[in-house]
Amino acid sequence: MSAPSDRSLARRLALAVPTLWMAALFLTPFALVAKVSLSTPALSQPPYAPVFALAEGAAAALDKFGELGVAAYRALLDDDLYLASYLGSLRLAAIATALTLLVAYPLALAIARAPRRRRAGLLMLAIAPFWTSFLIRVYAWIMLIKDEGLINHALMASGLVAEPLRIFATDAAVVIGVVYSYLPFMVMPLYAALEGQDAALREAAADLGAPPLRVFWRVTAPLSLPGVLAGSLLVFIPAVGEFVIPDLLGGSDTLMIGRTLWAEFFSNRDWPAAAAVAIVMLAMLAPMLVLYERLQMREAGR
Amino acid sequence: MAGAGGGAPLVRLEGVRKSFGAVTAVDGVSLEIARGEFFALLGPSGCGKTTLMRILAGFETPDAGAVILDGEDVSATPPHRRPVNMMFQSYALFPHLSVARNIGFGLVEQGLPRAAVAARVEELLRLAQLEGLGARKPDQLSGGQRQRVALARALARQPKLLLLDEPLAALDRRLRESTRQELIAVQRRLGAAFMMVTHDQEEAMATADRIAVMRAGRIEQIGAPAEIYERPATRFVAGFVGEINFIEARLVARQGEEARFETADGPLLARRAPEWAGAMSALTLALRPERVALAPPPDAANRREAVVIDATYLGGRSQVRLRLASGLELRALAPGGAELWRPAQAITVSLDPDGLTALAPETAR
Amino acid sequence: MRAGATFDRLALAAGFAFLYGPILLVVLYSFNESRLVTVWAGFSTRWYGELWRNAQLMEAARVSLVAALASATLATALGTLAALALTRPGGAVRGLLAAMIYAPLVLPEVILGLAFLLLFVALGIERGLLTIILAHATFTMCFVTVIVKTRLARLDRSLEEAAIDLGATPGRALLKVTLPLAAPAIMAGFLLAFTLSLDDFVIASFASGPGATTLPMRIYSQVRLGVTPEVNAISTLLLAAVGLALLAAAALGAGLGAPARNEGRG
Repeated sequence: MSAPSDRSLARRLALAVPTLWMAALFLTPFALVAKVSLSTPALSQPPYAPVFALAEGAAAALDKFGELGVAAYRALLDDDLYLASYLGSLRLAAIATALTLLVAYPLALAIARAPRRRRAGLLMLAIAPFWTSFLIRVYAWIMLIKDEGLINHALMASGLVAEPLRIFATDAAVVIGVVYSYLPFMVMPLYAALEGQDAALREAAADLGAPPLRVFWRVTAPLSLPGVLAGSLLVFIPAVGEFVIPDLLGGSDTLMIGRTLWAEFFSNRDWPAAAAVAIVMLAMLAPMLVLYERLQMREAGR
Repeated sequence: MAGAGGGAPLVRLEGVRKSFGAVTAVDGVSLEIARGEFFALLGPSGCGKTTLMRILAGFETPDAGAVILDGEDVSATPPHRRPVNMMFQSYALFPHLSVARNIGFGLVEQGLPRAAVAARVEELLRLAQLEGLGARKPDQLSGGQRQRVALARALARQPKLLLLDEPLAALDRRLRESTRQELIAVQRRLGAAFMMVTHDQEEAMATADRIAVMRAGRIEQIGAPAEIYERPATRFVAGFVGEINFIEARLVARQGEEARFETADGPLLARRAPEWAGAMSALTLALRPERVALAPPPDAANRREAVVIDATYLGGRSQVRLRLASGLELRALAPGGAELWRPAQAITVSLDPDGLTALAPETAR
Repeated sequence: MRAGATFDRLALAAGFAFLYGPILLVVLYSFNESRLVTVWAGFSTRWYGELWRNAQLMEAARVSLVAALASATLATALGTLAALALTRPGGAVRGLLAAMIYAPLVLPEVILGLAFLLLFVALGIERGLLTIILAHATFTMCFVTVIVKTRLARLDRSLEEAAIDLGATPGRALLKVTLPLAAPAIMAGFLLAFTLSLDDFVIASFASGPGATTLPMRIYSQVRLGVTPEVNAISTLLLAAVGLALLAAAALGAGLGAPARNEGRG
């Protein structure tokens, strides 16, 4: 089965170089995160007392496992702030994901149903914002929804409201920010799932007596479920750990775990706590990550 | 044409026209399909046959003309309200639904109770010889099984007219023949009208009661298979439906049914005279290769001296290419092997007067 | 049919208004004479002039450009190699590589950033421009891989086999046939890696030290203080740069739409 080119030096290098790179710069750091999460905080530079140094080798590391500190993890349990942050993140990410799906579906459907020659352009238009600065896109919403922002300005000028609507610095603002920022990631897989559908299937359903709405519910929607799943994972997983959006748009009471991690790290300089927060977040997201990876692999296998 | 009496046709198309942009796909088609008839639309790809079928199904709305179904004008009726069902070329089986749910799809839309749907689905599974496969998904079936699911699904609602889009195209050669016979058997048993679209003349000949040959959006000829084959109306039909020889000729005289022609290779006698041709008018005669006799009896009509160009063995018989004195090339079919005919061999042939058909001149388009 | 067409038109109009409205407002107000965002006081380019005189901002822009150029170049090389490796099926190492490539596309940035930082600290590399480049190259190469791999998967493999059949060594076939055919996707991958690096705030914050501050880090500290016309102006310039990059990519016919289905972050 294997073609001669599989054995060529170039092919072997092509596999080895990126694998080693990713192992060194992506996999190793996670081991370090786990390790630091088991350390105790210190006020030195770096601000943690290492449990074992890299140089000590595996044997020494095994010895030390007996005396690993789980202090950082115990702190996660003891302090309500962490639990509230995790739950807040899950809740806001879930609401935002659902809303993103609601906004993205009609758009993806309309692009998929557009004349063939216009589809590529429309899709490009839908995902182009992803290329533009994330920060700027979030910033644009500050401009819009602040108490003295453009939306309130317009509403009050038109006399629709007397008091400015309080959207900025609320959980609602965070949800809006997530929906807006992550919309392209929902549109892409939805479009792929909808556009790939054989038009004959919809015609067959109509031919068998289904009016347009029934065709949608019985054929189009169920066949787009893989796209719904992929898009939801693409939005939900990063949204759970989002920092910029809750920090810029949320209120001081908006608890999200990415923000808590950031605070532990940059403000409290408690690296073990930040690492423990990251490890728990990773464990929480692991099932979804695995599901997402499976989807990607299956896609790639096709 | 009142009511749904036995004499009234099931389908009547009146001057149906459909364009896509600058392309006229269907250009003024009128035809009738009788109840219980197996009708075939035959033509090369791009001739408009698929568009015509989609107009019958309701997926396209004609720009002009009317589609009368069972006495009712359905030209503007959407597909889900037509008593017409279609078997798609790709079968279009719903990949997310089981075989049983695929077959029951239209019954659910009819609002049938669950038990009635289940019973009818069982019945259809039996009819399609798919017993025990109801729980499978379409991708777990063989090509032939998928074809039968598609047929069962399209028949579930007992349509007055079943449309079949290239129903055998996706099957391999072996399966095609048996499936063709099954299709005919099902059609006879149900007594419903079937309309099949195909580009395969052999398939159309073998299955249909009547065939309409289409070309460039128009119907060239409608008739029974033998009629289409033996008495093609136009040069296009003659050429599209099997091999044929063309001989340029001039009508000399008419004697009752018979006609005498003059050609570059001498006089020709034909048993059927064209009613439309006047004396001395130039026309084209068509003759099937099997109507060229290679070892004619001495008293045979239309004898000619010919030279063999070459011979190709086709299995059981051979195609022999000949040249007449005028240089005209003819193809003949002869039993036996190709080694019987040597290039440059001089032989005598005869052109069967029963097989000579005068073709109408090409109409301006 | 007709109801569906109306629905589609509405969905497109509403969807694109939602996507582009806020961005266009930023651009519009960057030309506002007034310092107050809600009051339109006439057209002016004065804020662009102020940008020019802001030395800190200019220095941050320089750091960002250098980091983006260097990391995108690295990421393109590594990502293209990974894509070539992943277009062949099977193998445990390939499975590992694939798993490592897809994860950073969705992993929360704070986790990635923290992980990079701890690595650099453990290795004793001083944090600054170099560490930003390494971190950015690592996470953007995954995007390059996905884009190039999609293109390679669509290529007819028999083209490369034909080259080998005609006497080319596998290495030369790769160089002379496969890579040129994948060039538009490789270019698109580079552009995406470049803009992602230019845009990144979270990972850069972890990976950089006191010596190197990137443009997004500067913008962020300004944004935290509130809406200002200067931020509008710098945003507009960034948007224009990305717009040009996108147009270039479209002109290259890179087909950014299709591979983008696998991309996953903001």
